[in-house]
Amino acid sequence: MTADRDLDTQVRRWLEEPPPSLPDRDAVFVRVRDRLPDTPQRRRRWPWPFDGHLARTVARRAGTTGMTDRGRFTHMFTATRALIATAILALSGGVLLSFVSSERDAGVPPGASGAALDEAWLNALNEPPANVDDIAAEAFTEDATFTLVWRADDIEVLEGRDAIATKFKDIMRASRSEPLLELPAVDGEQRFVGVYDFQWGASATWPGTVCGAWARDEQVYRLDCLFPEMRYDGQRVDS
Amino acid sequence: MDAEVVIRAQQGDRGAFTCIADEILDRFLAVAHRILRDGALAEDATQAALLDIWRDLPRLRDPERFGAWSTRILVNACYSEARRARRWLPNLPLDAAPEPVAADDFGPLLDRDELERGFRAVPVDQRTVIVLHHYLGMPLATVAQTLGVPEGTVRSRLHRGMSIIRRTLASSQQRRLSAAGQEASR
Repeated sequence: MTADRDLDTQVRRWLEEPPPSLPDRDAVFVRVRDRLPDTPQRRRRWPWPFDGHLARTVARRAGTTGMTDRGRFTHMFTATRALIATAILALSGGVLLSFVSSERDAGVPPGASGAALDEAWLNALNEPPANVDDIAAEAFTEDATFTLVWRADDIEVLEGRDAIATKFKDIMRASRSEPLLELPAVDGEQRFVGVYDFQWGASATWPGTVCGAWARDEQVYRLDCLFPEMRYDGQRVDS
Repeated sequence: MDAEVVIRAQQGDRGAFTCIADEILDRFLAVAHRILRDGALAEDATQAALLDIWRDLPRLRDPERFGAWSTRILVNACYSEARRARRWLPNLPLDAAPEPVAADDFGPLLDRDELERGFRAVPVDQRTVIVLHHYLGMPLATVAQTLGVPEGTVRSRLHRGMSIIRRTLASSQQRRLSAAGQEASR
């Protein structure tokens, strides 16, 4: 114990000593000041169901699944599908947030919903997606700075796309009812990622997988959905 | 930090942000340098952090939380710089884990180089906790809040980080003793 305290004191003293080579304060200040005019601020995008990125993403995904008169649906349905997808994803995101809010007492903002969710519905979310690897690859770019913190039995920090993709796969194929990952966002907000299977209406011919990331304040951080290309016979185009 | 200045910067006032940057720059450089142990990396991390702060400032809901929020951005920038540096710099092998030594085997005054060496052997996330706690004097609860992790995680990072320093110091002390023993036996 004494040795611990000694070491703490030594480390504290050592940290307080000025480093031998000091960083160039003025150079940093000038560089930051000069780059401000070219650095746009990110503003809140609200209301999020009409968020441009979301709309573009959904439209892009829906667009790739449009079938032509040579065996695929035309793009006539794209706008409708995009709208429905947006509505479903918005609802799912909201419900997921409510689920998380109800799971966590600490840090729940005033007014956050803590409504209990239907067990069957949650179990449905835990069905393993068909193409988790694709989703992870699609949802997270090569940006090596991207980090996920998985909170389950222990805290696990995942760095990089491969680690995140592996975790996605493991979690989504696990039976536990916690299909969420928490993102340590730089702005201090809590953000969550969920991946789950998705079926288009009553028909099983248009399944897809949705990967969404939501912030506590319902701001969409990232939302991607994959609709595999399908033929009329219900087979995937790439299969 | 004056909340009014933060609000003005949130609204896009570059002059207000320049004042903020001027005010926090020294502290940022000091913290980044202590985490990264390299002046150039500290400069890069600080610059990246300040630009990230400017970029994301409109999303900060409570200007009163600017301090913790900006520190977290700085820490993330340090993590990024450390990863980038690790990619380009040779990965120097650490000493094999030494045998445990008696608690009072440390001398009263540790050599700075040994401390530096021990600290460099600590992973960046654990170094960060050590710096925030021992250098900035933050209580562990505040460190946890700043980093956005549970307090238990902060405690274990601190414990693991300090253990690595302790082991590294013990190892070099053992090496020194055995070298001295060999010298004496000649």
